[in-house]
Amino acid sequence: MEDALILEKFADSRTRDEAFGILLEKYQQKIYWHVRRFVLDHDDANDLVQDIFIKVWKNLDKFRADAQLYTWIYRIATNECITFLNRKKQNLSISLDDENSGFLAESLTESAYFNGDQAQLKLQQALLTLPDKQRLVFNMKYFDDLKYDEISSILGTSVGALKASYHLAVKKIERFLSDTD
Amino acid sequence: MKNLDENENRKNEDGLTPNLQANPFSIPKDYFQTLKKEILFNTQLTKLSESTFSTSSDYQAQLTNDILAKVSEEKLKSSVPEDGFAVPDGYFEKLQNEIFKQTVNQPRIVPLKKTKTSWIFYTAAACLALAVSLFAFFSLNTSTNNTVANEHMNIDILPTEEIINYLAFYSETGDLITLSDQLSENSVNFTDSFSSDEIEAYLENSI
Repeated sequence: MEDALILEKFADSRTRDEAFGILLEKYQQKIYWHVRRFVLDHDDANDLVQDIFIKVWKNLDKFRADAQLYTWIYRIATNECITFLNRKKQNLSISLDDENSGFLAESLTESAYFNGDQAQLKLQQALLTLPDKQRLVFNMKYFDDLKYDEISSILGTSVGALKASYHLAVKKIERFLSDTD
Repeated sequence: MKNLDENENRKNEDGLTPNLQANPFSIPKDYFQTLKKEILFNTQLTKLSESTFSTSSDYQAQLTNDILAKVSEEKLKSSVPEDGFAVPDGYFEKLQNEIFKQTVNQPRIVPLKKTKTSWIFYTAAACLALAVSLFAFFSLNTSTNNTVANEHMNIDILPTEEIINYLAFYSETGDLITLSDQLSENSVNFTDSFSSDEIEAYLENSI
């Protein structure tokens, strides 16, 4: 169903619940994977996704439709992820100046819900060497297949800066993979 | 025959026999109308291809970077096609139910009666607020005056020694200014009562 129709149904109190169900059906997996690839742990991702959609439920009637619905949801999800990781760093007494989240590498190998082979593990380890924001850009472009315009709306960064960030990320990953071969 | 030959051989002013002047070539029907249209069309095409498209000065460099990044991305995807993450069985159905529990299925507070608020209500509320604030203002003023009077009375009771000790300990300019306002005219020339050592000691302690 088109986003405009979902919003129309949501605005009507009689069809609000139905609209929210459709919205969940449409976006919950995309948002889950977006979050999961960033925080890595399934339980953390589960909690975050629930918080995100509760926020969507509470604020959708205030959504001004000056942006696409999915970029708005992605923006909420991205902000929640960054807040979550910063909080986790503080709890582990890691300086917030540390731009990457290398500390997550441990949870990768210990996780029951990571079935990746050696190559996939190495890719995730390579990604954890990137600054968080750069890792987000990489994930959105590489895994979620979003266009630069869309990523720009979500992160509030210019397309040129995103392209530069992505190119750099790809080079760093290539270097990491070849150095650890 | 001889006359025909003679006619053919008679040359014109250009030195050509008349039958050689005739144009031996033929053209398709309406050729020149078609030719005109084709020439005009081709000139318009040429104008269009020369003029409208432009790119930024660093476009070619940017394009190269984009293509190289795309090539690296494709190489990476071919060697690592998936991320390796998994979810528990039936997770997404459970997730949806969990989210519904905390949103759609939450009990909603519905007002029993929609009350129409009239302008009378707002006027009454404004009058009440005004009355309360006026009462508070006047009662506060009265209590302030009483408080000041009480303070003056309390200060009169205090021994001088105590006042001096207080000033020595809490040396704030505000106190001094207030005190100097309260001093009688006769006490203005008090410098003779204090030695230079006393004044110096005071200044050292208070600054």
